[in-house]
Amino acid sequence: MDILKNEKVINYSLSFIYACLIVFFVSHLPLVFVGVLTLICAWNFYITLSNKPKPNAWLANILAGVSLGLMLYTVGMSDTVILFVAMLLLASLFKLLQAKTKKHYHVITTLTFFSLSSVYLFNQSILTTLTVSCLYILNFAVLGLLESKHNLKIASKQSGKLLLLALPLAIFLLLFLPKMPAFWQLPGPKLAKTGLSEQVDPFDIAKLSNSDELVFRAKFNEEKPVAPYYWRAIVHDEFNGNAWLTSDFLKYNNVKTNTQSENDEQLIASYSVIAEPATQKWLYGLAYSSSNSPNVEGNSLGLLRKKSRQAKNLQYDVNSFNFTALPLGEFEEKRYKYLSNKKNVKTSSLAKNLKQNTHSDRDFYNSLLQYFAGTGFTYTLTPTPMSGDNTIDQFLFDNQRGFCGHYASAAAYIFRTAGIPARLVSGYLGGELNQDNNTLTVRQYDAHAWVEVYLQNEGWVIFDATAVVAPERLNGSLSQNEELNDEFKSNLDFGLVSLSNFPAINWLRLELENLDYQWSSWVLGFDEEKQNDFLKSIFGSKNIWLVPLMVLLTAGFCFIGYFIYLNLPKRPAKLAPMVKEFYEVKAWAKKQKINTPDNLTPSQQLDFFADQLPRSAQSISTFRQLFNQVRYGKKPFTKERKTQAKDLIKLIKISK
Amino acid sequence: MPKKTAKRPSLFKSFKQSVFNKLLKNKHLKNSITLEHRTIYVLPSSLGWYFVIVAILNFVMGINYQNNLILIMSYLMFVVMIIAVLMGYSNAKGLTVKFKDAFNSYAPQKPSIIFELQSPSVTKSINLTYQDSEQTHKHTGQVDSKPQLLTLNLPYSSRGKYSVQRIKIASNYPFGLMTVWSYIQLQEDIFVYPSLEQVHSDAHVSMLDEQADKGISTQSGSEEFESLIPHLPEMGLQRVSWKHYAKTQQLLVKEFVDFKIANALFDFTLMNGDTEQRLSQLCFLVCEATEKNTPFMLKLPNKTINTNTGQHHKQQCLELLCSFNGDV
Repeated sequence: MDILKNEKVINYSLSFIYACLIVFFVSHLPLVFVGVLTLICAWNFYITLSNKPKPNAWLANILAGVSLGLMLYTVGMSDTVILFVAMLLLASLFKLLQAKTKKHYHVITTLTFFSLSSVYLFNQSILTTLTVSCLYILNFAVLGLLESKHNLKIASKQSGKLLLLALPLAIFLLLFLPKMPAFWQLPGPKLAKTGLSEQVDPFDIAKLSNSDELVFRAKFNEEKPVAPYYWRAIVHDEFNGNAWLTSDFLKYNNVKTNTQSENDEQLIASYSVIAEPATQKWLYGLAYSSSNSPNVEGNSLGLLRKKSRQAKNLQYDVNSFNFTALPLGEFEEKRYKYLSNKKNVKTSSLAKNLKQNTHSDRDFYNSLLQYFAGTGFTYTLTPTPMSGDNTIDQFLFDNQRGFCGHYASAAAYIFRTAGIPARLVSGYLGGELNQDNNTLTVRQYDAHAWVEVYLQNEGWVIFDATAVVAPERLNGSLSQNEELNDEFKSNLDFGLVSLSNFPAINWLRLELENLDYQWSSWVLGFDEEKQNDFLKSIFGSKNIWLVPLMVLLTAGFCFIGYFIYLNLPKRPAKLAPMVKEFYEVKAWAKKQKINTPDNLTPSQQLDFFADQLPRSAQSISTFRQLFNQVRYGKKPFTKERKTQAKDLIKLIKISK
Repeated sequence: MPKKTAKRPSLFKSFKQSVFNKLLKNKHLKNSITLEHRTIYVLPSSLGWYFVIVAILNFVMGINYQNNLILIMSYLMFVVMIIAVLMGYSNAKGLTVKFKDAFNSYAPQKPSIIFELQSPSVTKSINLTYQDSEQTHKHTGQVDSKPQLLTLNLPYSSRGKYSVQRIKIASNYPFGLMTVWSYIQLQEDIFVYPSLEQVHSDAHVSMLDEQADKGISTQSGSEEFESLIPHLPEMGLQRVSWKHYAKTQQLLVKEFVDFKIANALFDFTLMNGDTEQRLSQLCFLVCEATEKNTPFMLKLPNKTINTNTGQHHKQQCLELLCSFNGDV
């Protein structure tokens, strides 16, 4: 029972599966550890290839111990999920290195089913799903190979067939089985992402927006509001000399109060957002946002936050309102005007100059915009890093090249120096609009920072110096920006976006984007709420109790149907030689409207046809002879006879 | 499946045995069994249980991370499990296992049983296992409507009479997730004869049959040349002495006779060595005597078999030797 028939193929397949798994986890595991895994995997390949014996237990166990230590050292205990994945991969690979009996391979293949699923914790894109599905089929094929002598091709075919058969039912179960809430809170995988952070220090960044990773998608319900779209994520209220931070005060004292009564304000837009998995809690919304979705909470700044840290796609509905013109509290006003560091002397005097020449805050706002528009500032994605404690001075008066962070940082500093409440906001600007489905796709390279200024009687107003320095940046995404396009693309890591000059590729990219949107909206985002809506739309809200019944019945019927299919009497064995040919003649005769009496032998029937159709009598009688020779004369039905029979049939049919 | 049945306490074993017998209701007490609804049993194999555990783990992971893709994989695994039940059952159904023949053996060789397997539809991957042991296991990849013979070696190598235990007919088709099995319990005994130990001297052969006149009583036979007699037309030409014909032109026929050999008595007490050795020697003598067609009598301390000859007699004697359990 324990004799393996296909050990080599099984080893290859499992090594291949684990090689793919390692590739999936490359970006999440430390490089040294990935190296170790790759080495073990390659070793196994090599052993199989060269028909060498597997290493003995002692050696393998010592190596496993060493690798385990290395794993704990490099991966660390901080992220339990990745630690768990690392352990799973390491254990499976070592087991594979030592596997000799069928039982060992059984353990490995079943573990592999688990390892494959854990890929989805980190990545759920369509491509990943397709790849993992193929690996599933391969893994099933390995199971089949362990049982039979087939080769890999047949085994994969069988397992593919089986999984295809099972898939509709599994999908059905997913759709209709009531979704359960999480049993217990598990630590989510920490995803390393580039993007926003709670600290904005533009001056030590030299390279920016090189990631075309998706951040979120927004779908407007009705009319979409007027561009530009400033997606707010974080508010920074504290300047420490170089960077803008979110003060602890703001972090913990922003519980939503009813001061901003939503009814009074003008609704700008309502839309739904699908945010990609991320470990940070912040979410995205336009202007003053609020949401009724269960996993999302709003705060007094009009920002949205996840209720729990969950590394998975999150879909929520948002209503966005204009900011109210309600006066700021005294304390608030003080806080938004406060500057602890005033070492940017030139900038301070600039602010004072401007302040003296203007009569109102609004006036100041406009003249600062003028200032940025007129004094030779340029927008760049590759700024020169600046250091020192007067970086804003350096930027405004020496360098004059920068991206949004520089402009926002400088502008907020100027406003505060002039005694106007201001805060820095980071988030995303714009996004790529897909006209077909009214969806906006926002990627990491759309990250932006701007200033919100509190103007008397107007409330919080956006001040974006980038708007005057590089106005194109406001409309649409960086990817659609003509002027910065080249710089932007050379900056991007290679990807489809970097090829968007070619219309065909651009079209393909947009189509894929759309597909990906549908995928995250319907497959990944199918949660309890959506399921409820879906079930209600089918059964009506009163008949929801029908669901379990329906599930049971359908599943039962499927299985019974399959069982009956399996046990159907097999088709009768192949017809005896010449019988098929005889039936052909008979069918032809019937077409000629000859009614043959039932009680004739085939020979007699042929004679009867010959009588009725004198023109083909010759051929028919030859056919009869052949028929008798083969059927009763024990002559073998050779190829020649076969072709003769065919020719005769042709003759019979032609000679009408 | 490697099981350590031998290590279980015997009380538990016998209890299990009795429960089993009750459950099986003697349905399998036949020499030929066709697997059908009543006689097929299906349970997940050990691999199947691992598989279910992983499916449950996947389910828990999918629920806790609210991850539809993991959930669907988990559902997929459950559905595959059920499909495996259906496929496995349909695969095994209709298989006929028929007892064909039993081969007794001389120790230390092992006896074997031959089965004939046949199935109206194709049945894949069938194992015949005796007493859940790795050694007594036979696999066939495919059984179809053409009868197929399968020899199963039994794990007995020491002398004795054994009643054949239940034989498991199992299949792990299609993915090894399910064990679909049935039993066949033969109403047969199987013998392992004593090993053959050559005996050279005749001293131990008791010539009890003194009165049977040694070498006198004759009957026409084929062993010894007796005389030449004239050829008669009905005699045929096989025994013509052509040498004489060449010399004398006279057709003579060679006449042979068998001397009626004295009946032998093989007595346990006259053998040397311990019980097993004596039995081995007796076994050798019985076989030799049967080959030479010598009538013999077998005498054991507790039982005697009267003088006779022929295969049946030999079988009787060997079986007696197998089941002997007295001491010297």
